[in-house]
Amino acid sequence: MTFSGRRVLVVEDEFLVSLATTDLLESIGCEIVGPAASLATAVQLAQLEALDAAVLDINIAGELIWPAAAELQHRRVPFLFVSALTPLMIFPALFAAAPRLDKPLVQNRLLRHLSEMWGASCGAPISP
Amino acid sequence: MIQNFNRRAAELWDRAPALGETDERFCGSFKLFGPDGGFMPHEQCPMAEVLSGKISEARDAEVLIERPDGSRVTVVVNIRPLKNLHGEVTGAINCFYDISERKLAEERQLLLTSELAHRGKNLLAVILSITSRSLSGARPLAEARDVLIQRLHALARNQSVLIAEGFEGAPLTEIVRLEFESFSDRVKAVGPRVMLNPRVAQTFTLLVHELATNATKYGALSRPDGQIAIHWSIEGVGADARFRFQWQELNGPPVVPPTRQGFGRILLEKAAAQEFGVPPKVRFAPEGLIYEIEAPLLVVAASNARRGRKLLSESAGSAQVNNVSSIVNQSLLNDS
Repeated sequence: MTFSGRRVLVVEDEFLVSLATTDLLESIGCEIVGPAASLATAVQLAQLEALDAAVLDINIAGELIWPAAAELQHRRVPFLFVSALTPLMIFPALFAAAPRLDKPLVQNRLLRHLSEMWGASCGAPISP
Repeated sequence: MIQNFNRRAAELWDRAPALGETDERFCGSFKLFGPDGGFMPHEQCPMAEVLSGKISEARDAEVLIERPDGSRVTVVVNIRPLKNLHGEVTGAINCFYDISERKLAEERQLLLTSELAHRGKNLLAVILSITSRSLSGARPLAEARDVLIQRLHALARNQSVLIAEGFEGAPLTEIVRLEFESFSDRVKAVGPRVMLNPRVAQTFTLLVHELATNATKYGALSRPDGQIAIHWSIEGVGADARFRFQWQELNGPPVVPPTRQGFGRILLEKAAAQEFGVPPKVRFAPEGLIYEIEAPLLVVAASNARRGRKLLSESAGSAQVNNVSSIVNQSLLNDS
């Protein structure tokens, strides 16, 4: 199983924080979709792009990411949440199974979750 | 049945229940709710529970009173039963007081704490980004390290300003002043008082630092006669108000547009574009570099929406515990 060429949607509203995420993903060979800095863009990309996975910041410029996550869930695109507020957040029951990572992202932890997500897949990105 | 109550009780309930009235049971309030917001029928309120013997007394129990006009106050109730010679409960006294101000302060505290946690973690992520990018270019390590350290110092200065302002934001004048402490005679900064929100303040600190660093190395501040003119303004009002910021270099060496897409350029161009919604205008004019940002004021300014209410300490003396608020004398006998 390889990470190379995997298309990952990144949603993060703070530019410098998104750099850390995209740098990390690119360093393991992933292709970045986005990053999306608003909920509207996130939903749009979640609907329209061929994706292997998504890394979702929960609080985007004052809005919560749930509509975009619902879109991905519907398409069966695996995703994980990344947030500075994780211990204090109340997650919709719909997303109870999605991994929740703390900010800042730690490479090993991210890789482990991506491996688990993609270990089960056949290797082609999920088309819209 | 309510036998007696004082004026303060009536104020907090915002009604005056008829005494000895069997319809007015246990409490003179219009409606009651538990501290979690759940509806509390009067038959289940602390007074009812003391009278029925379910609990021996109520100590510092929090209850939400809803008044006839829909407004709510949070009160703390203390209830003691009255007993006859046989030790049977014949009535109770409820002494309760208003803690609404305290609740507001607690709520604000919680909001601030969670916001601080959020900003703290984001700051760490930003530091990681800056560190990784500052050290990954083609520069010699010593130089890269120096650049990184200066950027981190800029972030640290920003933190100090935010802390001084209680994390509401940072005044733009402070950001500029702190960056140029050693160049003050060659840098002019003019503009109205603008409080940037914490996130924009952080970005601005990094941008100003980047511009200043470049000016020192290659631009106006690399020559003794060189000058920087910084000017910002607010135009328009309300939702349409716009914030304009301009950095102009003068009397520097001939300007050469940069060829390298280093982290500094990414900060000045992409980070700014994302933060303000519009790419900044960068002009390599013969007199010197001109860098301009324009953004809706709403995007840039600190918001006071959540902080509209004053801290408890600022409205001293109001609604403190010594306003022993109300005494409700309830008789159990007359209930049957």
